[in-house]
Amino acid sequence: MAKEIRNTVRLGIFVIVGVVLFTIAVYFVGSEQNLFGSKFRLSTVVSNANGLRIGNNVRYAGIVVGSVDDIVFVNDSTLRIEMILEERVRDFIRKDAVASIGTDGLVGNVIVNISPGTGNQPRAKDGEIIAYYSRPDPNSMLETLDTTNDNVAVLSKKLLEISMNLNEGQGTLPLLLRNAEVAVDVAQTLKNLRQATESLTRTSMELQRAMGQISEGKGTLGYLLHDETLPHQLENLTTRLDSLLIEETRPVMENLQKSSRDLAASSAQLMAATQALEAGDGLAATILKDTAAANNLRDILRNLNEGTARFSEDMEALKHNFLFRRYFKKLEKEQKKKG
Amino acid sequence: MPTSLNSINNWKAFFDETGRISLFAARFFREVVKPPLEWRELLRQCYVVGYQSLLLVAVTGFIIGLVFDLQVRPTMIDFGAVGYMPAMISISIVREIGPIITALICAGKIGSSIGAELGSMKVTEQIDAMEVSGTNPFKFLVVTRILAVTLMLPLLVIMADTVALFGAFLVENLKGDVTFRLYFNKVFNNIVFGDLIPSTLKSFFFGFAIGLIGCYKGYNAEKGTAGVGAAANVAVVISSLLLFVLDLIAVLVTDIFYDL
Repeated sequence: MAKEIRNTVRLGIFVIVGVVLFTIAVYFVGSEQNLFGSKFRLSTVVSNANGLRIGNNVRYAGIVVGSVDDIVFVNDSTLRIEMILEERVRDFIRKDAVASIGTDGLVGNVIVNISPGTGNQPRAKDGEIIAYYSRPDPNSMLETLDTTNDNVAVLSKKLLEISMNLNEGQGTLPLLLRNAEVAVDVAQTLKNLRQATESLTRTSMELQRAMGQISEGKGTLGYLLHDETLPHQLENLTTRLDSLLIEETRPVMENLQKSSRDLAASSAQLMAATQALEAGDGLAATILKDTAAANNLRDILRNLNEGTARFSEDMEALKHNFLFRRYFKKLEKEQKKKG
Repeated sequence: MPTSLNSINNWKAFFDETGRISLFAARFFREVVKPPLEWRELLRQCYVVGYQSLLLVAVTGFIIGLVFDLQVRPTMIDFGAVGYMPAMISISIVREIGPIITALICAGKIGSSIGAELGSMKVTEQIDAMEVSGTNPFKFLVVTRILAVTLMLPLLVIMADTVALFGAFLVENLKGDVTFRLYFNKVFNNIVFGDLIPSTLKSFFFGFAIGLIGCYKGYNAEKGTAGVGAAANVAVVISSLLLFVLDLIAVLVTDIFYDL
């Protein structure tokens, strides 16, 4: 009898453990499907469910917060996906939240992703229909990949041709690859380039240092840029220069004006004289207008010159004459005494 | 004897046996609803079938979970899908491996035990003696055993599933540094009622089939002690075969409801 009781107790423990395990499994599976705890409903309208099934997960901001409760045909081209979500995310889902159908990983289950809406919208109500964003389906992505693969094949063929030409063909690049001297030259060029770069860097650093000094107000340029009294001084200097110029140039300007007026008067007189010359019958007018008279006058002047020259010669001869020589010497002495 | 005639006789024997088993099952349903039920014998049978099979089922489940994970893991790593191991293992064990392996073990242990026990009682005319003494042997021997196996097998399946999942967890933890919480989160993220309920329901049918065939073969054992061994042997073979047939039907029916 005691053995029978012991066996019955063992059986009871066995049954209880089995039932508890089953209950735990049911609880956890039910929790995953939001059968327990408070929840609210959202729905979205799609044209293609992309293999979504009742019970698939719903994620909000990447976290599983619910599951698909039902998929209903609205008409021949529209489906309504009804979702059950945990109450704890209700405050965060706004009216402008957007749902999309995706997959859990590359080959995982189909899921519904809900993207958060903007914070300035009111929160979604129970049973609210939120917007749906249709992502490109895998088939169209594969078609694009197919095109990309074709392009890659063409590219690799071209690259092969280029590399063969580089290895075997003529031109600069193959020469660079094959000729050791050219390679040495290129290396030297690169070395020079590196030296030039280093020099440029040093110059740049010096320039930077100089700029730093200028920024700190050191040196003439720095003083010019940073001295706050300089503009004021320049302004004073300009004012003084202006006043000086005005004072100094005024008499000059007045003289200039006077000269100008005199010049105008002289010019008027000259013009009157010219008119009188042209219109008159005097010697000058005759010389200007009568060619024969002018020629006569020219002959007279030439004769006069010749006469003068001959008179000079006569005077020179007279100086050497014994009758007048003493007089001229006396005259020279008097002149020397005066000088 | 011509081969065709032999074949017809075999088919005739098959249908005859099927009919007899059906009648035996019908008698069980008639007797099970007719009070009084032999509660004490039922509890004893539950203890024998359930508690005394627990160790065998648990060890088998643990090894199955361990080995299954070890075998599948390299392939999943090749596919870059090692993160899906808990999901794949849990669905495989809960849906199929747990129920069928547990049922097969029970068919071997319990089916043969029932067949041999009832067969020896039959050939030693203990069943006839019970009838003479006014006790309903069918109610006492058959109904209690079939009910016990039917009720205990789902519990054994649940325990086998739990232990197998734990075995798989050990491999995941040792080889992949997966924590206990992460592993069981992933397990329950991927199991749905569509996995859990059908597998539990079909376990009842598996248990019923094991009990029914074991009892039928033992209750109808003939030809002395040789018949006892034959009853035990045939009980195991037929119930094992029937388990796979029932499993096929269960999967087809589950798929219909799951698609709905």
